[in-house]
Amino acid sequence: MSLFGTSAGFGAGGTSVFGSATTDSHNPMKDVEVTSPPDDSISCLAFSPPAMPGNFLIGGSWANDVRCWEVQDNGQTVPKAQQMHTGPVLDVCWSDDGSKVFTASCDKTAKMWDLNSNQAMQIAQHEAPIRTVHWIKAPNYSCVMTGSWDKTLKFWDTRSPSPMMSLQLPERCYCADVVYPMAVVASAERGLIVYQLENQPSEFRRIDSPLKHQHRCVAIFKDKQNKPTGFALGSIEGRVAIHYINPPNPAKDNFTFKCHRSNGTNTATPQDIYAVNAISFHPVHGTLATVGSDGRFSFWDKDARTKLKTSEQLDQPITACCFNNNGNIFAYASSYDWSKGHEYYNPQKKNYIFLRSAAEELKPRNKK
Amino acid sequence: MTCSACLREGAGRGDEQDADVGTVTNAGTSIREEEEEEEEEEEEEEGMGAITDRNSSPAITVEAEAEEGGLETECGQQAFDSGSQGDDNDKHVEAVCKDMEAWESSGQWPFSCYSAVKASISGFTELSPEELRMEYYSGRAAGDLQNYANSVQQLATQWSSRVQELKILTPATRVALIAELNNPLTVADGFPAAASGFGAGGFGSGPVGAVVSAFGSADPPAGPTGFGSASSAASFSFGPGPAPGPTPAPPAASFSFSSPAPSFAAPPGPASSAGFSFSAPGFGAPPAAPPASAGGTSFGQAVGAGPVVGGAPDKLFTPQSELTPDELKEFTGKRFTLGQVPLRPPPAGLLVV
Repeated sequence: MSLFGTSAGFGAGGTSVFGSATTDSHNPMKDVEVTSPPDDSISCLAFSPPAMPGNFLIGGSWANDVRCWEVQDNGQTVPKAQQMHTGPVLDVCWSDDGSKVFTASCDKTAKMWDLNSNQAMQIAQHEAPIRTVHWIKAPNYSCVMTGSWDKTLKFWDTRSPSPMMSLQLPERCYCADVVYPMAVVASAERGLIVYQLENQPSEFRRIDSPLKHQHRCVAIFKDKQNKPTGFALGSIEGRVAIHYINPPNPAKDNFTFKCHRSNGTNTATPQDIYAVNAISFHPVHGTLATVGSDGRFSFWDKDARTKLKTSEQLDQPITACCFNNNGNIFAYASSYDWSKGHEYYNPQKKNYIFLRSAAEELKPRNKK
Repeated sequence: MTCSACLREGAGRGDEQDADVGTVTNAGTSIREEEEEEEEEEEEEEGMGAITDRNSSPAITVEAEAEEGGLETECGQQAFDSGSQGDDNDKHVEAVCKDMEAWESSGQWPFSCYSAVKASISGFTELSPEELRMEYYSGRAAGDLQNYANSVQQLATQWSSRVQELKILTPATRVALIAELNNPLTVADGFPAAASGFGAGGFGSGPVGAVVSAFGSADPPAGPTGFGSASSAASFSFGPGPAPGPTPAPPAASFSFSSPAPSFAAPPGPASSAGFSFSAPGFGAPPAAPPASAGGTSFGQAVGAGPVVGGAPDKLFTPQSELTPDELKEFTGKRFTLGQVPLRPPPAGLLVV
């Protein structure tokens, strides 16, 4: 019986076999530590899709590597394989059938990693670092979407060196998400574009950003019919915007909320405001997780508009997070995100990836 | 080099526990009431209780914040104009001033754009932490971090001055700020590519329906998309949508520390502004023959033998008499051999749809 499926979940309540017995600021939540973490900051995490039995976690890092671990039911993590780029890896994703992993790097290329053969080949080329990579599976086509600091969004058939399509962005791509048939791209200078992917990708709408500062992360959410209906957008200013594409009442349905800030109730001293580094939606409950430069993660229910939980503070920022395909596991990475510049960068400091049982804590709050 | 303006003492500030951990904030049932009062951001607590109406001006809450008196401020003394437009301007200016105070004291990332009342305010460099970090890593690999350090210092100084400028306004900067607030740049001003690429249906020249696309059937969808909706009756339109968002004010552009004039230098135009062409240097015209390779049908329906978009090849078809034996073999074969796909278009007579 899988421990991840029970409520006495792995890592919850300090009963973890792998956590340390004493309070430790590198792992205050006493969650499971993934073995052999990368040697530099972890930029991205992705769990294998449902098509694959078991749980495999991919992590990309600033050490130019992409690592794959098997996460076993008893919580043990087994390093499986690794690939290298010639520059820091900024994003990773899986194909829908779980046979391939796509990786995007500052070396201006994206690669396709065939896990069965453990071979990786280049499938995309940009003129600047590639910031985002996503697999698109449509009824009549499949392709890889890459967003780059060269201000383009390109779509690639993995067998051709030239893109199937290239779309101009208003500015450098900073973050993106895809849930067919919708894609959202957020760029520098508060650019925000929604694309529709049916038949072929095309711009659907440009949106006035609901945020005042730099866009940092975006995640699409779905409605009760399991169709993409909006997105959550995070910025460097400790704030997330919830935006529906076509709500009945935009003024009421769309909203922003503050998060990842310090000393909240004390108005005598100014607040510390931290960046939201990543947002992930729980695949079953539809609730969301945010992770920030403050070294905390928080869980939220956007429909009830309440916070479900905030973690203790880790001694490093949390740079990435993701849920596994059935929502039982929440993975988050603790490493430096450059939010305070180079003076706070310590190459010797260990980087971590933690796993936490997610089934209970992400349950929606009952609306009264 | 320590950049005191943008760096703060580390993560230890989070001493005070967030009172809302694990508890329901007063967001639950009080949301509706808060909306009616049209307040936003008046709570300093973390939590979803602060709901922001996207369409309302952030200046609405300024008065509430000023009454709390938490932050020492000179912002309230900025009233100069009279009249209702003047009052609006005063409110907006005050809101900007408050934002600058918060930004200065919060330890928040300094190299970010800033906007107020939907207008982008100039003078801020937009640079993500990853871009800055990449500059550092590049410098480190090249054995020269001095350039990086100097550039960061320069950026930080620029940020700090701009923040001061907007916090303590002279009559001249105040006028300039009000002008910016009241005249947000539209996409048309700064982003010509939008008109050409988007307005024409996004697929380069020629009627949309005839586009030879690698994506299979190219009929533009006319009905609602597969996007979920909150049971809205609104219909989707695939023409150019509602007024596109504000364009970047000064393009911060591709940031490189090694160039002598960083920051606002215009980037070299990426080749992809011709991005809607489907012709590719290595492959000539898109294959009018059955889809290439044995790798399965990623492209759905075979593309029709219609007019070719992009026009890189001189002619549409290569006469059979001009083909090399290898090319002929590929074109007459059932499928292409990977690595041997001809670079020239096939003869018209060999087209199979």
